Amino acid sequence: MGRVLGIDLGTTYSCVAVVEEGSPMVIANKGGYRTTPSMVAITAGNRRLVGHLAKRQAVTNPENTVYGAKRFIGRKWNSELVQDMQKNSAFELVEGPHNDIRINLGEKEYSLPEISAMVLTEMKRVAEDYLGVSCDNVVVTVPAYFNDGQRKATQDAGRISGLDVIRIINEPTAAALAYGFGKKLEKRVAVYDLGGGTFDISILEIGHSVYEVISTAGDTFLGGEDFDRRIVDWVVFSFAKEHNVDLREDPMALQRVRDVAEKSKCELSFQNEVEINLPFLYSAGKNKTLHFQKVLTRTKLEELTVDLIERTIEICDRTLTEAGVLKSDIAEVVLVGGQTRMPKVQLTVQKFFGREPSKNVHPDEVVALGAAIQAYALVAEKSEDEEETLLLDVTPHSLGIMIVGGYFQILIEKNTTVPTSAGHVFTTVKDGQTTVKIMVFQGESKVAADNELLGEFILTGLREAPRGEVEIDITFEISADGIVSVAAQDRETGRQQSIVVTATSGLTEDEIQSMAEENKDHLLAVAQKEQFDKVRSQAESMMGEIEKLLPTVEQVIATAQFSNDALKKAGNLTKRARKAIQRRDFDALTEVFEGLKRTVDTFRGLAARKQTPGG
Amino acid sequence: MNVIPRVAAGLNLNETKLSSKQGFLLSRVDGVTSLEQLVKASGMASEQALEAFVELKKRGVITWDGAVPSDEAETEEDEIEEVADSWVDMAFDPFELGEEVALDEDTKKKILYYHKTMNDQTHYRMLQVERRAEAKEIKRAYFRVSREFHPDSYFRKNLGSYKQKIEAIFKRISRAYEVLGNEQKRQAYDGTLPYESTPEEIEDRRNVAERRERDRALKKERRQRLLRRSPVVLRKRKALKHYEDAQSYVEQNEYTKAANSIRLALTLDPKNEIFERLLDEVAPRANEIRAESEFRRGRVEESMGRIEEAISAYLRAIEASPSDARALHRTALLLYELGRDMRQALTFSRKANQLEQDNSEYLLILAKLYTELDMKKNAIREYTRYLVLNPLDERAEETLKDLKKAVD
Ligand SMILES: Nc1ncnc2c1ncn2[C@@H]1O[C@H](COP(=O)(O)OP(=O)(O)O)[C@@H](O)[C@H]1O
Ligand SMILES: [Mg+2]
Repeated sequence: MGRVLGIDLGTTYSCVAVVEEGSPMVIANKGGYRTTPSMVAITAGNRRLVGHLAKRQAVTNPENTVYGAKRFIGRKWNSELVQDMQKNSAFELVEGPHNDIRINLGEKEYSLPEISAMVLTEMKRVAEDYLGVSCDNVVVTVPAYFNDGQRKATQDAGRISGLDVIRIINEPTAAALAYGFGKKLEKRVAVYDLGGGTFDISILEIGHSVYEVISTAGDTFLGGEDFDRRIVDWVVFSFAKEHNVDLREDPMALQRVRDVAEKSKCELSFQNEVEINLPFLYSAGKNKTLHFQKVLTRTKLEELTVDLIERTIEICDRTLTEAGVLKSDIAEVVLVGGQTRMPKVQLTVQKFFGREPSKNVHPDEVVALGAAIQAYALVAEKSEDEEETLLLDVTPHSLGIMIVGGYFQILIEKNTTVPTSAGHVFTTVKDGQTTVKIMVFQGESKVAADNELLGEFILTGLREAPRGEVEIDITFEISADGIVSVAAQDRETGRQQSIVVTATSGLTEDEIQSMAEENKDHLLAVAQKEQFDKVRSQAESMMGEIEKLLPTVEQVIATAQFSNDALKKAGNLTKRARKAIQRRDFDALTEVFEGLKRTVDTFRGLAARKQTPGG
Repeated sequence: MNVIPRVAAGLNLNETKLSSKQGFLLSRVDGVTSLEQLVKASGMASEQALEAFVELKKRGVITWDGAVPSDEAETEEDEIEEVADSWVDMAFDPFELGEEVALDEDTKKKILYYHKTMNDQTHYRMLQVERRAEAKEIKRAYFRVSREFHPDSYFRKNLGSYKQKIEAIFKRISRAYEVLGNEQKRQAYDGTLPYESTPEEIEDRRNVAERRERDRALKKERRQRLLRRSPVVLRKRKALKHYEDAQSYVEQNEYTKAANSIRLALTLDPKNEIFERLLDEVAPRANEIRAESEFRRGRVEESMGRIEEAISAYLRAIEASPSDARALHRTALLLYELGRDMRQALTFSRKANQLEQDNSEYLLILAKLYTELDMKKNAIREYTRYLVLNPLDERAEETLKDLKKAVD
């Protein structure tokens, strides 16, 4: 299977790592950056930009730049939260054909898995540039609290990008893997992961190289971006108070505020105050532009965000209680995610757990490292003395079905070790009934409709019999990736029963394949363009030399009475080359390329005659 | 195990009866080598060797000072070997064992063994720990066996039919740990186990070993018998075995277990009329028992104010026994009180009244449901019936009057 990468597909930043000679390492891109912004943009010229390039132009092209796509992946269009977040996005969200979300960029609508696929493709490229071999297999991380739909959508992203996602693992679990790697620990740890868009808490038991997740919880709508937003609101509010102008109506201004908000927030982790300075922020009429200038103190920021931090602590508390774990049982607290650099976050966590968090991991890189470790554990041939890493992860949500009265009957409890399965027997309730509808949900509410609908399944072609006589065994499976599948069997005949999936928000198989094709086409086009540019620049430099040598060569030919065939040929070739370049015709250009090369040689030879007279 | 065994003083070897194994081990005892080294050098499974030495000491053939210290790491090792023994002599289906997959023969045997026996094993046996093991040991054992059977340890290998078996074993192991890893659940589970572990550890192990020896002999015999038979006969025999189990369960009034066994028999021999007859006899009782226990559970939930759970329990009772009037009635009552799903409640209540006529409680709810659903004529009819049985209920009388007025 070759080398398998670990990719942390983050809300704000992504990171790629690999295990080399038994030790995990992060791969930096050519610019030396160890993480890549999870941003994608389509330019006016319909060019696709990913990562730093996309981030750099975000201010001037906010409508066509996607950030934080992970917050939307695998979500349903009609969910309240999505409708709410839509208002805060500079890019346009539209409804997709499966009650899913699409993003309007340039002239096209993109599904969320396609956007994530672009980021994955970029991470793959970063790794391949460094390793010099092609890498097609990856382990990708997701927030532990992701549900089935979000996980499937992440898998789809992998398929669209042409990668084989051999496993999806949870981010805090990955962090724990990296934390414990090669340490022969035997203790209980808590991983507190506050990233750009999500919060996760996981409690794990580490026993040498076995990592058992005891309990996990989180909030997929709570992260660093919420902290930024509080600053943005503060700026917008102050500005409105001063100038009576609503900045939110000006996308470009808002993007500038957003950028400066995040920057100031990060700086406030290291200093006590920052000056936010946004000159020429808003043009109010002809010659009048308004500026923003104000000092933001660390204390003010803490005040603006105290409830966000409190929310994470409440979740921690609940998780511990539910798992029956005492704070004093936790031997180590590991902080993950960029937002945990905020001193107030660290302090609050320290107060809650009653111990200082571990400083041994790099919050931006541990997750990718852990993914690489898991990848290695799964596929690499290990030497005798290497301990095999084994992950025993759990499902974060309870899985069940809707029963009479709209209630939710749990079949697999949350925090059950995966892979796992559970069975349920359905009986026909009418004489001659030939179909049964099953609605599968994930969540903790007793009322089914309050949980996340994973899908509707219809069992068809049941044999006709008096009611109650046909019994169908349904098996619900959760794989090690945390992904759900359903199978059904007639109890009496043992016949496999067909299942029709009638409602999911995921992409269809056809869509995924055509998106994957498109992505391949795109990559091919980019590769061709790169190749063309390479050949063109060589051709152009040869043509430059030919031109420079031309006067000398003309002289030599005139004095030595050579035939001027060479000159004619050269003229012809350069003309054809120019035309090919103008038309961006790769084939035509390669056709004349050899000719140009020979001409340069000939010209050099002739020119040399002049310098060595008598030759 | 740093004690040094010596041959007992004044031992007359000619008068002592020893097995060849014991004789061999005795010949190694030189008064210099420690027990640990002797065990290691014996070339036998260390547990076996250790037991044999203990036996020799018991019989006064050898002596040493002090008890055999049980080193923790040592025990772990022993445990593994102990279980490793179990499948050596098991009868394997040559087809299963011959399947071309990316596993060596020992691993295949181990998997087949666990897969075949896992439903009869205690949680302790599944995790390869002793009954007395401490929480920490249990966790370690769980991690150790997980490594052996977690599907990830065979990631993307060609496993054929073994894939599903490995997954099933791992799930079985997780289930064992779910219980044994939780102090309360473990205690409850211990209460269900048939025997208590004996106080003397070595003794305990010896018994296990002896029993295993017997089992092994039995299995061997059976294997030889079975191997001579065709697969069809084999299936039928297995089915018959389940059928016999079912019969003895019936004798013990264990209808749930009986129903399970007979269903197993029927999967192996689907058209057997004798089996079907027994199932027809047993299934209703098994369902009744289940309905009864679910109904009781419902009452408990209800008494604790957990209405949703109560409803679920009653629904399960109804599922098991569709003619359980009590469960039908309670469900109807609760749904009515919650004000949800009135139509469904009505169906249940009607059925309850059909099944048990002239029950005033049932009638009252039915009447109320009809009223709620604005089916006045029916409501009047039911209230009237109710009042015949319960003439002193003034409120009902009031309601009835109102209803009559409304209809007129
Ligand atoms: N020094 C810092 N102080 C406070 N927040 C920071 C700091 N550095 C990064 N962040 C925040 O951390 C978040 C990104 O964290 P990261 O772990 O990369 O998230 P994700 O994995 O979700 O992309 C962003 O919201 C970023 O603003
Ligand atoms: Mg992250």
